[in-house]
Amino acid sequence: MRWFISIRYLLSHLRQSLVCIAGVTISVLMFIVMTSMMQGFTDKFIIETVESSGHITVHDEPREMETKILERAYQNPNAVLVLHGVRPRDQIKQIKNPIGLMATLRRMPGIVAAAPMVSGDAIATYGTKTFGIAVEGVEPEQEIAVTTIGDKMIAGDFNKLKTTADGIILGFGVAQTLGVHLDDNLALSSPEGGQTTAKVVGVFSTGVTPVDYSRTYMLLSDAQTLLNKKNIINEITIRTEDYTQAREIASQIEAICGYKTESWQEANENFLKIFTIQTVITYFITGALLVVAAFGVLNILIMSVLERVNDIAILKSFGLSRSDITQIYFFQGLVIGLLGSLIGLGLGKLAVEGLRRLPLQLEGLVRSEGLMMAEHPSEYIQAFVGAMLITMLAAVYPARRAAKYDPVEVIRGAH
Amino acid sequence: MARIDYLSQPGTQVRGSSEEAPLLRAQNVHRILGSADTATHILKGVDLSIHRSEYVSIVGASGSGKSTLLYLLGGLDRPTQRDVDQTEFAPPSRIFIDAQDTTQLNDQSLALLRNEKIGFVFQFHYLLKEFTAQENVCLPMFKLGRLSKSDAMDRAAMLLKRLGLAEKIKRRANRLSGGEQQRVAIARALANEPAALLADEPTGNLDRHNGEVVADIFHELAAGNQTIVMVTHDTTMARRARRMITMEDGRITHDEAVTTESLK
Repeated sequence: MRWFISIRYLLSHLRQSLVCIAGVTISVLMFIVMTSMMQGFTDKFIIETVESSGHITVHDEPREMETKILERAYQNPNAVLVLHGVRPRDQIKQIKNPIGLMATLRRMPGIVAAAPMVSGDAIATYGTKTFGIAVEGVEPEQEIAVTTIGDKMIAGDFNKLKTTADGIILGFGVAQTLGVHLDDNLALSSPEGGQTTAKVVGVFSTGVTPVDYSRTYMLLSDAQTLLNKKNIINEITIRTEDYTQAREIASQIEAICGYKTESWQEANENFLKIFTIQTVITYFITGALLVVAAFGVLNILIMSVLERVNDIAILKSFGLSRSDITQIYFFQGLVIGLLGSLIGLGLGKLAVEGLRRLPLQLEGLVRSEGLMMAEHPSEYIQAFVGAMLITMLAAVYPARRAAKYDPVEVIRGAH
Repeated sequence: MARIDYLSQPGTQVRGSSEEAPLLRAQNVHRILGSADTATHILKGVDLSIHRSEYVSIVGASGSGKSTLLYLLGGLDRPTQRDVDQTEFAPPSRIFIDAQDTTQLNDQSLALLRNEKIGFVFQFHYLLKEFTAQENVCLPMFKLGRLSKSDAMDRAAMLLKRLGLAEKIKRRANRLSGGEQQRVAIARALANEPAALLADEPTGNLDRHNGEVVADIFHELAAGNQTIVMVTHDTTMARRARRMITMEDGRITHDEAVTTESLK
């Protein structure tokens, strides 16, 4: 009976009820679209960055800088130590016994693969064009095991590094900037004095602009020669079974080897912070929309209570309790929330699909054809639960107020 | 209009005699509205017993407390237990409905008791305008839950037919005339076969013709052994009852059987 009365009351104010339902629908729709868009961007960035660069990187330097000699001698923290004429020591940094370390790492639980790397900067020249690049010297089979770079090739083959003398694979942006194609020869020079001519054997595109516009791959031995780092390994790239566990595994590795070991989360901390802020803003905006919708629900229910004081009195006179009256109004909020949420979820799903198909060429931090829309069931659940909670919360006050009316006072007032 | 043969379903209990426990009993009933300086003592120690099958009218000037007494007898209001100076009334101010002390019941139980035993008719019909006449009559039955939805709809249709509204069953309450609305309100009050039908100025809002129609309905219901307590200003209608109670300043001043002699 309570449902019967609730539904009839809602239908009697169909237009206002529809406006309230529309308010909830729009809030849910906006939440789904915005979170899908933001999450899509975040996912794309994280996945592409993580998968093309490895989950964990062991660097050739200790986490803590060694205590300087003067600070060892003068341990007073308040002392001002000034040195004149200091020159940096020419120190060759490298990971000691990288083969042994990699063997140890491969035996650790949670680690799938480890690959050696020598990295450094170089200048690439093609004709009159010159461009600064990051050179990563790798063993192709091992690199493909720790990253997805092999799948990101848009021209050539990653394994050709092994079969081509002084071969180089360029990021899409680097190739585009220099205007080179497969089999073109580039002149490379490094700050360490190394020089070579490399043949383009492949072009990759990760979709992450900073990577595609700076990174290049060479065979490990070729890169060691170019960067003047003979037999030196200065990074080890690691792939884990579950990339979300990278932070924990990185700290374990660091404890074992003593080298600074960065998880992808640590390496991209600034971006992750921005994504967190972005998520907070999304929640804030959609939350504000939902609050506005909730005020709509509150408003229509209060109006409904005020204009049905006589109904409440007569319902009580023939036996409805305070609880029954509360439920009649609470159910109205529930129906508005339920319909608004379900329609919002449906429209949200359609909007996500529609936006995904929009023919847009996007290029920013990440490059994509069409909007990057991610769909996680948790977002739909959050939208539904949030909308239901807030609309039901909005129904509490009118429902309680309706239940408080004293039928005798109402009937006396009507006389 | 055809005689209303007590609008009951098979198995309706036989109405009792005056030796039985009263159906409605007021014991030293006080009702004070407001508090401290603004307190108004509406009822000042009313004692009253109403037995099954009685047809009682309560008359009195405005403000004499007759409507307040009616609401208390029907469990819609609760008697005041303490005087303004906080002394407890002795004997305690109590209302009994079918021997149940309403002061011992919580709101939920009292509401259920009202639903089962009492039918109210007010001066204004108080129909729910979004519902049809039939649905309005069904509401108390839906609450009681004794009948299935279809049985409740059938009974509502039967009640409305007997009250001369056969053609208006599916009509929205706000599309009915004043007299028709009041008849729907009477049908709603009778929906759960209440032990007592309590009416507060049931003809107060009606024109002469419709007032007479409603008065006839009450008369016929009383003839069918329906217990009726009616508050009215209409002396003609009051004298159609079998017992007439007169109230003045919160007290019962006369309680008399209405005889053919007294009608003269």
